[in-house]
Amino acid sequence: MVQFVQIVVNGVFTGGVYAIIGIGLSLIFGVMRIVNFAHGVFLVVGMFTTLFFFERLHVDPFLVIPLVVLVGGLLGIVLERFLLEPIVRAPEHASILMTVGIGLVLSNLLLFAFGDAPQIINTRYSTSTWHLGPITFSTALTIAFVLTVVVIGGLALILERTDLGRSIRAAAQNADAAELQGINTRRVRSLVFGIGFALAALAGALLLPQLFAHPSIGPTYTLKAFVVTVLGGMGNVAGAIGGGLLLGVTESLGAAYVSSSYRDAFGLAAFLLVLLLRPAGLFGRSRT
Amino acid sequence: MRDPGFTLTLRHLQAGYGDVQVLWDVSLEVRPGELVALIGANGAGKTTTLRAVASLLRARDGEVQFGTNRLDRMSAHDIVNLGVAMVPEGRQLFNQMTVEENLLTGSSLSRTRPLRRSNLDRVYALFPLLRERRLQEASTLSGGEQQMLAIGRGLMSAPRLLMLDEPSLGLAPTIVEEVFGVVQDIRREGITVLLVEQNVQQALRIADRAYVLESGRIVLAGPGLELLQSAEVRRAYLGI
Ligand SMILES: Nc1ncnc2c1ncn2[C@@H]1O[C@H](COP(=O)(O)OP(=O)(O)OP(=O)(O)O)[C@@H](O)[C@H]1O
Ligand SMILES: [Mg+2]
Repeated sequence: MVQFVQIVVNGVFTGGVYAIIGIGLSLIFGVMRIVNFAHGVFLVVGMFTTLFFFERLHVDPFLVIPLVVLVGGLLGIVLERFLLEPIVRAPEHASILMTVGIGLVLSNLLLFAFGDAPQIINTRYSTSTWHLGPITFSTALTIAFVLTVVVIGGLALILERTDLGRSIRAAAQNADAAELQGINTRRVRSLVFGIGFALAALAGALLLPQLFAHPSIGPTYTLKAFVVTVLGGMGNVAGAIGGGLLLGVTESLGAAYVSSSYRDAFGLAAFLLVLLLRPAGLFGRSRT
Repeated sequence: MRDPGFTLTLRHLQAGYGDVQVLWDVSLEVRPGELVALIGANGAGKTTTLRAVASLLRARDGEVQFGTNRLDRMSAHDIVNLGVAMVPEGRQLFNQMTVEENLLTGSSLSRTRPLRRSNLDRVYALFPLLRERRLQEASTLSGGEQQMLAIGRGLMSAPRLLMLDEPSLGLAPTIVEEVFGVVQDIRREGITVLLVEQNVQQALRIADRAYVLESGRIVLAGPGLELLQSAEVRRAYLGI
């Protein structure tokens, strides 16, 4: 029983980070109507930015995270402005090719800059733990989870309560009508892509203490982001939270009770199952 | 509110979609404080005209001017900030947002942000029902209520000129009466109105002036009541 609870707790903590990735992908899809195939690579960019600031520049780990978010946000805004905005009205395959291309170029730039050897980060958080009764918590994952809750909560508040949030939702629901209300939808698109990149980069920084960073792992995370978003319903931010938690717990249980070498496959199996039973996603409502 | 400087002028406007040209040399004028109707059969190009003014569609040639500003060179959201708002055909509400959120989207501009509270009160005074429904999702409103919300949303940017595209479309006769009443109220508040309507008789009755659009060309223009009497309009649009 203790072991089971332990596994579920780990799954929930990792799932929170997956939710962050999924929310970004979902926001981008909602507003821009593009599926961002570079999303996982953005996460890897976050990992290497973290490594760079921490290992090479020796920036304090608590400062690194806001820096990584900032770098991600700016990169996202610039990429959107110069590479995606020009093809806003082009047919769908243009954006697929463009985001796949962005992903390839970014991961190869990372390879060029950081080399082919898998890297890990060494902080005192990486291995430290704390205990609640019989359950053991990794300090790094706990910090990641707390930050995840704060970031998702903050994002939800922005989306629900502020002019910016209403503008984002309006642009997602009806871009022409949003323009007619004086909303600069071009700016909203850049911003949303920036937010998506920033969230993915944050997820990379948060997952780094438990993983080997390598420039080629992007696609795995793009796939995870898809799973999370589709589980939660495309364009549905609240659903992405549920999707992320479900994926995290499924992977964690599968890895513990069946085989840890198939960790990534369990998420996909859950994904196929949900799609078979509920094509609009677990929390999706069919669009009318 | 009434500023003699803000006249909407279309000069030799040409516009279309892809290879298809829809508007051929459309020229018209809406002066401050006027209620001008634009009428014409289905597919004549009425919506296209309004979309070109709002910059949702780029004009191929010709000019759209509001006061001293060339609208055909501006983006749609900047035009709203100048004081030209549009209530689109088919309402185009943000369906998954509440009534109040729909209204608030129209007041995030630098010019109107400070007036948000008073504009909201003004819209609720015009449509008391919307206040009752303010926390309801827009998609759950009846057709008439949705149209009122679309008009209210258009007013939230405190426009000098409001363009309405077939506000009575698909509504029951009593609601149509209400909509035409509201259009007159808006005009009485000093807001200039450009009204596109299929409901030709009622539109001409309340309009100061009107233009008739046929296959993308203006074929008739004049005071509303005069056009209402004209043999051509009676034959083509009123079936008399
Ligand atoms: N998005 C579009 N793409 C291609 N052609 C279009 C598009 N929108 C309108 N058209 C064409 O342009 C012409 C004028 O359409 P428009 O919508 O301006 O007419 P309208 O006068 O508003 O008609 P209605 O009274 O039916 O609303 C029509 O022939 C229509 O088929
Ligand atoms: Mg029309």
